[in-house]
Amino acid sequence: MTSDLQALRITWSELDQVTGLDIGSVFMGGIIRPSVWRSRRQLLSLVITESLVLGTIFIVCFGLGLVLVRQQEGFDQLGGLLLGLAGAIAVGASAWHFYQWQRSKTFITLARLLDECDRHNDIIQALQVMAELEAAQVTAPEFPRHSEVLVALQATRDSLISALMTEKILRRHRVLLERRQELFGTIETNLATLQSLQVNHQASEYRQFLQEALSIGLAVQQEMIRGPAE
Amino acid sequence: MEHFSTLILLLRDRPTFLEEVRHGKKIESKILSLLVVSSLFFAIYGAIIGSSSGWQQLLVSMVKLPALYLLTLLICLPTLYFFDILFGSKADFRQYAVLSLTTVSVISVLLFSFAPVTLFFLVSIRSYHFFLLLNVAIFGLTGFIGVRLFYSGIRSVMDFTEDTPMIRNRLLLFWLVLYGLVGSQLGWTLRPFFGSPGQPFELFREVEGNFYSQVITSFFSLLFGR
Repeated sequence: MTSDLQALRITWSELDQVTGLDIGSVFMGGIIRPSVWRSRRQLLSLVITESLVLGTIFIVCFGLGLVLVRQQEGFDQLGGLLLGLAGAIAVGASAWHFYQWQRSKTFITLARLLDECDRHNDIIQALQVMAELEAAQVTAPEFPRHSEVLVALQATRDSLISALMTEKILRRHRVLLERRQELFGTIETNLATLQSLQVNHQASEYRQFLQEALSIGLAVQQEMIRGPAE
Repeated sequence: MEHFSTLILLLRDRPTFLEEVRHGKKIESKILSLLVVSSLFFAIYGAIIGSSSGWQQLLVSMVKLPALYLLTLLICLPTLYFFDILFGSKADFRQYAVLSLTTVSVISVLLFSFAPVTLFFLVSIRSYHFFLLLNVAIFGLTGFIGVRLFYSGIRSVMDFTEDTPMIRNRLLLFWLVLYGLVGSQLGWTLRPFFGSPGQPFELFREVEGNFYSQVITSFFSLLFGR
């Protein structure tokens, strides 16, 4: 049963493939997952990552600053340089968080689906633990209706994958879908154009019929006039 | 800890790592992880070499050493990218960034692995010139290994074959020389990393001579005790 359950897991690489984004426990396509704020462990991971990144940025900027200020004779404003760098990095970090907040609005659905995937994986993990406990205790009763559980989990998995794929399509064509009012307007205009074309076509057909009927009529009349004379 | 697992993947299973880079898989997280981890290792080694001249030098070297490697990369990377795409490369900038960061990361890990050796000589031998030359040797060796791995890595990811124009290979070799020159000049500009014995702490030194002349001077000083 353990191998069956393992196959039902939704792995990170599968999520990457289905969503088209780099998915992890803290980030989804470079955006902080809202679930981070609910989990202490993930929050700690985010804080460590941010601190390390800010530290790296500080190191690079400080190195660059040193190269630039050494051109000045008698430079003794190291404190000012450090303060200026710290301020610039703080402003940059605030701007990055604001950008994250702006972008996260378009990832709400994805975040919810990823949370559901996490829950699905947690259930599978719990079942795996139960299966291992069963295997360890020979006399323990077998897990009841495990085939039905597997079917239910497979259905959940399929639904989640399908929902993630749908979300990807909607996300990728978000700009187009946001213009739906304009799109409807365009469709209406196109329809009107098509109708007018059809009317024009009908009119030209009608005119052709009339012309043909007229020429037939004229021909018949000419034949009738000619007939008695002959 | 995910950052370290990226580095472990690079060190243990390079073919898989390079395959992922070729397919553009998790490139951003790789760049972030390698950047963070290499900075950390460089900072540790910088602190060790700076500790030979007091706590102020320790703190400054802790920042200067990672800055040296990362700035060198920042300066040289656009040259590699634009020249290579001009001569037919199809890779994107992020792939070049992650490949060049592998060089820096490998160097940082190797330096970190040399840290106990450096620390041992720091506490057991009080010779400035010996310590300087020992570190030049360590930096040279680690740099050579890092650059070699980068060269084979980029050839693998960019699918260098016999049909690949010769100019691209020459360009790559030229870039490696450029990388070395920029790195040594930047190192010379950012010095001191060690601090001179018996001298007060200084953030900069006067720009005099060059890196190579200083190595030769140290070598003769060690040999003839001047």
